[in-house]
Amino acid sequence: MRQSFILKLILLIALILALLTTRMQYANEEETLLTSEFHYHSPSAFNKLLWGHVQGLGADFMLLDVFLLYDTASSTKQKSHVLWQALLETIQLAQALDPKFYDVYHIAIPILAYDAELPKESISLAYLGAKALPLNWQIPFTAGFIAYDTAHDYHNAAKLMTIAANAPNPPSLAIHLAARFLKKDIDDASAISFLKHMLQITPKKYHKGIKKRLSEIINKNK
Amino acid sequence: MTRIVFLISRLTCLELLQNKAFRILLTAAAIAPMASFIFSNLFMQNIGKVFIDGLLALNHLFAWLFILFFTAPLLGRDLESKTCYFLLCPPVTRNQYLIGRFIGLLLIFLLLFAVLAISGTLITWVLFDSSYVAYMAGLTLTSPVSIAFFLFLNYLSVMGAVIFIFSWATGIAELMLFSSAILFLSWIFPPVLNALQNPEVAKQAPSWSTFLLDSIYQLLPHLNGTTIATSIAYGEKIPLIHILAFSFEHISYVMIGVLLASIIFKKRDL
Repeated sequence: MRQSFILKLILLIALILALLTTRMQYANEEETLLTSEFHYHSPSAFNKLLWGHVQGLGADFMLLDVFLLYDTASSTKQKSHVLWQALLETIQLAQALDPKFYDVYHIAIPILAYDAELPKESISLAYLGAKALPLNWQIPFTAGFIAYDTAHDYHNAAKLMTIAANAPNPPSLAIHLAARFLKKDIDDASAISFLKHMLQITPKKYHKGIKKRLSEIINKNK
Repeated sequence: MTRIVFLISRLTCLELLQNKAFRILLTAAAIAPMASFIFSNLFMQNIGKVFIDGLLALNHLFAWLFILFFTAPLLGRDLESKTCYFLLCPPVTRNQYLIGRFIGLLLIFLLLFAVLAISGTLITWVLFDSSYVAYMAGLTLTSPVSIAFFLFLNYLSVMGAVIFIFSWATGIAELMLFSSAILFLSWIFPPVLNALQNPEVAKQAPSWSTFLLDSIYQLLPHLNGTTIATSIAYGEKIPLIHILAFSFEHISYVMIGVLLASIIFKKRDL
């Protein structure tokens, strides 16, 4: 009996040591803080705590909130700063919960730039997206154009478009625009071409802001 | 000894399979991935990723339901209504009873995850047809299986903790209370520890708190299966050594739980 107890104790100690060794060796890496050139307010740790081990699902629900907030904000006749700010915070939370969720960037970057008129936040979000999804050319491609056209930030425009041009399988337009942005030489025809491309890849529901910008460029030429 | 353990585990399996509530749970596990598919169709591009998120959440939910409403009550009833006395007649030893009960619960737990995996795979195969190819985001036919596998191993640790609690608990209430506490603490500790790494939070927290929380966290089962399952579902390559280390970690945790339980249960006054 005593022998059996001692054997169990030895086995127990061996298992505990093995467990601790395994945990220490393959402990989770620290999350590196993503940075961009613009100040980006990251959501509180409480929100991440709330969603625990299902942060991906949390990001999905936050994106559904974004759709709802967009509908409300875009349907009010007077421009509501509060609603667009709430939209921005929800987008930031969705991005923080799941940085690799492409839908967040796909929807939020044009909305923030053209509808909410927050181009700097849009560019900041794009930098985070480019870091989280380095093989994706669409995020820096879209944000690069927004940086040039709306924010008039030629430095970041060239930088983002270069990131897009260096991603796998970029469109020839990205390479063309990267070169032009670097020379600060972009014509309205290229801008119109890009915005028409945006209309093709963005859902119809979110065309309002893009069409508004397109008509501004076209009317400028008349 | 093996025969007795086999008989007790078989009894445990039959007890659960004949439980109406468990049959409803099993049916729900077979149907629930469909809800995840429907939810994923609300999105535009990453439909596969949203489906995976839903499957992960469902696996977690069913694991919690099984542990709280089937494992703890079944073991608690043995103590409160003294059912264990019938099973502990000679030549059945306390160790054989404990291990038999544990293996029975484990087999039914495995059945639950198998149903979730099969159901998820069938939905992926049948409903995610060629029109979804551009939106799959790393979802493959093996994704539901890998999710179920990793989360099963995850909650295996929790089952080990529950069997340890059973070895000294006095009834259903204590078992459910402490099992809930184990699940809750295992759930919230990783985000809390991650939050403490944030410089703004670290400034306000006392220096000893991180060490204390980390030490307590080492006693709890680590619910780190979600990270690996999500990475695989996104199509990222995880080194085989990490998967083996993960499996070893959880198997050794459950063995520690069962071993401690057998030491304590052998000596306790029933």
